[in-house]
Amino acid sequence: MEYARLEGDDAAPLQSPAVSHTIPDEMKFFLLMLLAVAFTQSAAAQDSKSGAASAPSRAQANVSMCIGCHGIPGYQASFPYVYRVPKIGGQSQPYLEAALKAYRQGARNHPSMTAVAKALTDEQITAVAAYYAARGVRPVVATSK
Amino acid sequence: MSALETRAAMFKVALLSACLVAAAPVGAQDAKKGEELAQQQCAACHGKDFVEGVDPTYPRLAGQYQDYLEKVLRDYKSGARKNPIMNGIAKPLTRDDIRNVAAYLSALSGPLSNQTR
Repeated sequence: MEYARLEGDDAAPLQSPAVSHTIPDEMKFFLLMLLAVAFTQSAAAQDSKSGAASAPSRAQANVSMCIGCHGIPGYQASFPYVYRVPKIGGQSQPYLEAALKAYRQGARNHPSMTAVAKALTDEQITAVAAYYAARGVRPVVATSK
Repeated sequence: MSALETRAAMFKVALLSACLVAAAPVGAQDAKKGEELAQQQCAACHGKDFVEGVDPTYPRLAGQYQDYLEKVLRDYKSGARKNPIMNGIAKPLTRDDIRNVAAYLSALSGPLSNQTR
């Protein structure tokens, strides 16, 4: 099945973590700002489209704590080493729930994710997971032949 | 050809070869090898398309960031992240295996996105 490519979501060969360490901080900041602007614009363009009917709204899911890292295409976590934070839009809902619960109970460790997950109730975890599961790229509908 | 000319020619050949070697990507990833490995080792649980796994708690991998996938596999290999199945799978993987598999998976088409709206 084919899925649409997202704007700003490059599948281009990436620099190795070792290389990205050598990018000066000013450059990183500049690139990040560029990405942020690009993302804001593409997000604004998508405003008119509605999400899946069953998925909780942004307010219901309270994803403000997620988007700072997971909402910026190509955003890099820098601890303990550099890699891009995973795409979670369109991820399987049960997986997202399991991941958050694993962080919450300490079975899985990441400083930011542990802190975020510890603040969530079961209901909030379900809502956040449902929210993100519904935000995947839709398959490209094949034209009739 | 004089001895000097011969030596100059040999030097040119050596210089050219050195350039070619330098131009070859060091530790280049091989998505083809990655595909073989992924279909052998990963597809049974994560699905042939790496979108629908056999259990919904298994993550979708198609189109995930390559460096994140590498990090995950390194963590499973080292035991920093614990999962009985994944630790067993990742343990024997070499650094190149991990890069190749991650290169293959990240290039696949799937629903994963950064969309937050």
